Amino acid sequence: MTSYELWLFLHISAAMVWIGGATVAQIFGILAQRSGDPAQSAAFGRSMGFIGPKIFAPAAIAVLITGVLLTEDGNWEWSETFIWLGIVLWAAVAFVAFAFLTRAMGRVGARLAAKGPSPELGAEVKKLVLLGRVLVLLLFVVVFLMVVKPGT
Amino acid sequence: MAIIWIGGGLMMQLFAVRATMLGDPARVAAVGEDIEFIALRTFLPASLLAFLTGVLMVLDADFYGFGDDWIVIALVLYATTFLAGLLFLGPESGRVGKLTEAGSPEAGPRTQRLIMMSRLDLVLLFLIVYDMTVKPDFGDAGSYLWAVVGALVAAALIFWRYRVALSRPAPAAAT
Repeated sequence: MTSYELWLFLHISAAMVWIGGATVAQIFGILAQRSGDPAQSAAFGRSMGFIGPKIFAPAAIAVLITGVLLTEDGNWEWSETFIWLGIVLWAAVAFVAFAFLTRAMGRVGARLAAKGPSPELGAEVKKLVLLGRVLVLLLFVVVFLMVVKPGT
Repeated sequence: MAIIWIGGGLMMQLFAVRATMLGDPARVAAVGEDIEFIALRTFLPASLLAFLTGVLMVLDADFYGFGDDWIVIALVLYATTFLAGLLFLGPESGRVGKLTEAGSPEAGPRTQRLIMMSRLDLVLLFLIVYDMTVKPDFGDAGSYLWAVVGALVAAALIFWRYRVALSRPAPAAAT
């Protein structure tokens, strides 16, 4: 096994944890909303408040680090479209997800658990789940870029 | 599709473990039902699509063949994990959900066993990812050694966590 293959395995594994996890978390969020049970929505929000910084953030950082190692080890040019655009999209998604979304999810979950459901909180959960969906779509755009490597 | 299958499998683990840690049977039952729903409607189609697109890639590529060692290994691992999900993990999560809802004393150990088996299944899935990335042939002893050692260490940790979880007293149910 070469060092390039090792970075590639770690890069793909970390991307799977982040993107696949976020996709299925979306489905859990939809099911929690559909159940109409505020306790389930609260538990979902609290779980995301935990999983975001403890699982998704390290996976996202591992994706970036192994991506840099792959670029250096594989003699790729940093000016390749799929590389710079991938990094720009990574930065945008990571910033919104970890600086805002996971914290907001945790806060909403705690408020739901403490005060119970309200139309205002329900609308907030819907908005956050929708934002999460947009971020997941952007991550799949990055996957597309990495697989097709347009311009190479 | 493989991203959804494997990354999603890990996510289900996390949701299940968090629900179990709360010690609320209603919450565990709800997560169990969600997992059964997601497994049938998302994981099963995702794993089938991963298989089909893999077959199409081999057919479409001039340089890969079904006789390649790493493809044979991947097919064997895929069949193992697919059958484990279809015949055991999926139906068992439904059964455990019902036991939990009924407040059966069997629910706790069965939940822990299900979590352990799901984690072992994840190890198999990551072995497939490793196989797909490194593409070893049967003579590549070094690559196999890394894979076997990694899988054994992961399996030992998983089994140790299972034994620790079983020896712990069940958490008090939330009121």
